[in-house]
Amino acid sequence: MKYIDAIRNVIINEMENNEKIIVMGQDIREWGGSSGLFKGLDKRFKGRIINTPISEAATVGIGIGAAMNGMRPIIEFTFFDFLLCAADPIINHAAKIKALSNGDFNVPLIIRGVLSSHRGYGATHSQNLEYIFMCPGLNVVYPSNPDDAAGLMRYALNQSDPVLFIEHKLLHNMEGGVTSESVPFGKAKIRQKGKNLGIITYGRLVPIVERIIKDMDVELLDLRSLNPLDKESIIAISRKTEKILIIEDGIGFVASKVAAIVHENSNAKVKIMHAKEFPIPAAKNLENYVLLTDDKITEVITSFIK
Amino acid sequence: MDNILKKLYMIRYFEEKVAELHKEGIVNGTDHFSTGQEAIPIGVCSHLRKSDIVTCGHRVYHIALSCGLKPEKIFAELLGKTTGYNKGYAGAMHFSSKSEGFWGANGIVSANVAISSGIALSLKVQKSNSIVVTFLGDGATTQGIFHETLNMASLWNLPILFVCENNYWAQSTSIKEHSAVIDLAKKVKGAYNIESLRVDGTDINKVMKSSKIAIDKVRKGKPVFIEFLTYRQCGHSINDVDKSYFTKEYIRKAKLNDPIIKYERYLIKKKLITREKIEELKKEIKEQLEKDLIAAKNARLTELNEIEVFK
Repeated sequence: MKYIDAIRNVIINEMENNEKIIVMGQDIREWGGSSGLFKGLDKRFKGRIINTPISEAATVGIGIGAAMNGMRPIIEFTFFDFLLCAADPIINHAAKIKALSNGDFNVPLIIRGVLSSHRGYGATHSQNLEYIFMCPGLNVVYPSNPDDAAGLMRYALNQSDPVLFIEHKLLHNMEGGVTSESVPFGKAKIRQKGKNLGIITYGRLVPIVERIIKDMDVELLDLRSLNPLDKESIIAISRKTEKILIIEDGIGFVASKVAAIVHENSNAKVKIMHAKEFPIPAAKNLENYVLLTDDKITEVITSFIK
Repeated sequence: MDNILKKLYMIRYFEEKVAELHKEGIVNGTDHFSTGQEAIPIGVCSHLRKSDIVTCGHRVYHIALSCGLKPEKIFAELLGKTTGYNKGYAGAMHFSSKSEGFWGANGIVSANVAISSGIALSLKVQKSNSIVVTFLGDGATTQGIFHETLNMASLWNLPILFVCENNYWAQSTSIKEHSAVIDLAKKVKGAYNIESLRVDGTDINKVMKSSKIAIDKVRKGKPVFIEFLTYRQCGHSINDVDKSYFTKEYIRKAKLNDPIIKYERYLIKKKLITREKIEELKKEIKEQLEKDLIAAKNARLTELNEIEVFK
């Protein structure tokens, strides 16, 4: 099953069993959202697929209020970069209301943020900004395959705290088997076992790294959840291999945080790999210069393993 | 009548007590008082039912006390005590009392406007008869999220009353300098097709009358915006001591339009109360607040294991 369909199926199933789930976003009723995920669902869930104006901040603020009063809104963001327009409601409110009310209020709000790097969309539509939202009180997850996408969405819809659910446009068509398991937050997963090198990464990069290392004696840890981070699994891989490579599509903030955990808890030699610190260009050759490419990753892995 | 007057005194004297606590140096952080604006939430909240929901921004005590919150538990919140509404985690700008229908102050100007509209959306979806009332200042009407939200509240017919306490100042910046359109009710009506009223917010009788009309409309499933014209006698926050930006004219009008003095005069003129009775009420409120404060001071500090998110 495709990654996008895995998410779609879980949402449909949960919506059928739980009237409290509503969906809000731009162009979601007719187009089904930019990813087409909600296409055709309006008839099935009358009034629960809500088109919003281009007002990201108010949409999230309204989602928070609805969630405080027992609803379970899912808000779709066409491009992850647009989350910046709603940074205040997400970081200042969604993430804090439970703590501030000492548990009187919960905010079971899910925000689907779709990353879109490596597609030539340029500086304001291509950023990997997940690190900005790794704040206390907000769960941040980023599945790398259809099974995790379904499992994390299922888990998200059955717990009571806000979730930033990150997808990458380039993963949407990825095929893979899907189980009916839930994937709890804060649990990383070993994708390949090995001894010569440990690689820690997440999201879009996981299938790419899997392809590169499939004939190497390398261990691969897929974080799956960026907030909370699975410190136990990070420490475990650090103590197993002498070298740790942490790779991220962003500009190194997530990798640095993981590197600190590795460094403080093991004797492993740590290296981080991330995009160059420039606004992301549109032209393919320039974009390839700034962002990580499969070739660059292959080169770093093969030279670091020696 | 007694109840309204009691509430007016309670809010005024409560804030004076909080100011004393800051002078004593036992409150962590800052505070925003409402001196001169007390009549607005008292009048508005007098029409609310138990199941209705109220929210506001950072200028909070007059609203929280109008909702019936207990002074003792607010004092305790400010002092970080276990008997505080949120055990001290929230503090002045963020406390809430869900069971009393006060769903929170908010430290980010105008953020409450969107969140409250979301609560109103949920009430509409749930086919509830309850409504939401959110309080904001004139300074909040220049935030982007205010405009985004009013547009959506109007499009979606949300059951919410937006109460704007226009005291003519966004911190130290005058409305003439911060808003291109000074008649805020007209601005909202024109821009978002939301029914809007502009009323003297220092006269509690006018506040009561207009908010009744507004709330009846909201109960029928339409958002309404009321702009109450009022004066802030205190600074923006406790750190704003000299208030040098206030003009002499503003200070004069603020004193002239003190809602407490206005209401006392009205009651005396109508022979609904005597000077003696007024002094009695004032004394009674002050004594009760002193008891509440002592109880809050005597409570123990919150332990870490009582905090939900630390568990």
